Amino acid sequence: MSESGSLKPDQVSGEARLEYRWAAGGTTGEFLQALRDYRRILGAVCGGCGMVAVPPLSYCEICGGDTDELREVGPRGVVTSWARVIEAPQGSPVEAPFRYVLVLLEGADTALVHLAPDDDRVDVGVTVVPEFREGRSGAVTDIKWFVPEG
Amino acid sequence: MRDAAVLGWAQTEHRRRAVGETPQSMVFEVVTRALASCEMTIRDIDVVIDAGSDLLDGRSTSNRAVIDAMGAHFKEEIKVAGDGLEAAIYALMRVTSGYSSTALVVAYGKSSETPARCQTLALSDPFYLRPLAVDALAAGALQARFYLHEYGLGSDAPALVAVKNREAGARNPYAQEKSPVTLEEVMASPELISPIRRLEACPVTDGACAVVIADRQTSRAASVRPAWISGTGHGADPYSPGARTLYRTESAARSARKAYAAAGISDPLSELGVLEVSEYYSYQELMLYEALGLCGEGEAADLLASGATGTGGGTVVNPSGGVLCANPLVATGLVRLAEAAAQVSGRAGEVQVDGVDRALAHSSGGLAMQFSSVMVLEG
Repeated sequence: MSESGSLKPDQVSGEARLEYRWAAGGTTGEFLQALRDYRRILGAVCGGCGMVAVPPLSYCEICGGDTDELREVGPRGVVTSWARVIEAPQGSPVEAPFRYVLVLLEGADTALVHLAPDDDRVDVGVTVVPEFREGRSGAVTDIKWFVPEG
Repeated sequence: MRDAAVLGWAQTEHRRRAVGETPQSMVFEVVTRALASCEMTIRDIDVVIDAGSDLLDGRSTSNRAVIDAMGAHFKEEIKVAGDGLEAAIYALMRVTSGYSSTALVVAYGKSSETPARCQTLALSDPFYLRPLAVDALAAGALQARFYLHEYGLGSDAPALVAVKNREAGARNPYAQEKSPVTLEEVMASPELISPIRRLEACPVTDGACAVVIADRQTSRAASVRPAWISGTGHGADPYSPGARTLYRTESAARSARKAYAAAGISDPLSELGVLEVSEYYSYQELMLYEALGLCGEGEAADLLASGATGTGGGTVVNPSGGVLCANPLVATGLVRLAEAAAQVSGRAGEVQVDGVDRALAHSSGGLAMQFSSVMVLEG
């Protein structure tokens, strides 16, 4: 403490805020367009190993091959894992409580990370279908979440 | 393989918030103490390899402002983007290639200065994961459930990891969490994202670590007992969590196999006295028992329950208390190396396990353990 009785500054505050405009690239762009315009979910078919990856990339994460084509998958899928959120994290697109889910869509070989309502029917092995938002913007959140079928 | 050794090391006393410390002051402290621990000075160091985070520091190319605190000015200096154990692997390559004789490895993280979950949310790509707010905790929770479901385990199985590690951490003077917890307390702690509970998740930590790695000639002539590096491995799983067999950490398994082949290890459970692994969440330690070959797939919960990996067991995992007791992000894996080196050279103080000939250090990074590094040490 100084003679005047003041405390020594402990920290300084600041903000490092950057606005980004991330290039989606051709493959992701097509995926987002199909969500927005047609309510369709596209997977990437690998020219090397034939795996269908969802979400799609222009290359195969499994074998390193090139993506041959984009193919519609789902809309039905099976939950392979889930996790319940009680307190929504920053940037969450839905209110808590909700669930994170891994969904293996029909016709896909890799699982999509997405959201589901906090419904006890959302469990491993359960069939779910996407619920699309109105006023879609070309984002993965154009699917609000996946809900149990029926 | 006795081509290189860890000669010296130091870590900070890890804290939730290191009031009065800057990244530079923490780095300066551990570098000074690590050099002193092997009776070297900065003049004995050929190259400095460091790991820090631009995101945590809030500065681009964050190493540039820390160069002088590391003693790296007027030397070769390289920053590794990842955990400090990856920087140590780079250092090992430097000294075994003959390009350098000695390397100083430095890693630090001051997580208290920014919101903790934003730090790992930034690991997520901006198209498929970040709009859904998928951070390390969310990805970890999905992996935890996947693993538990695959082997029909209850959520009390990983909770026992927290009990074991907090018991050990209570002896570690550098640990942040120094109080033991009971199984009941772990199970009753609030769910962060199910099935991960608060006491099963790593704390938010400020801390740093420095390690000195030297070539064979320097190590043989050293005044301290070297911790010889007899094997290493490093690798990654696919980026997308859904593109992996999520109940298995393939990159850790492959890294371990490579390290064991170099070290001549065929039965890690009987040949390793200590493993220091990076369990950011309790379930990860179970998965790592399987990936690192201590048991078969799905057998980790039984191995843990047998007591084999706890205090007094034959293969003690995380005698330091592990990441559940201190998580100086970016330095977390390098701390594992310092602890493993201390064990094989009989310098682990309060957490020393008797008669450790060989120890393993492991680090992971990314969402749901995407990146893995392994190093095997011998006394």
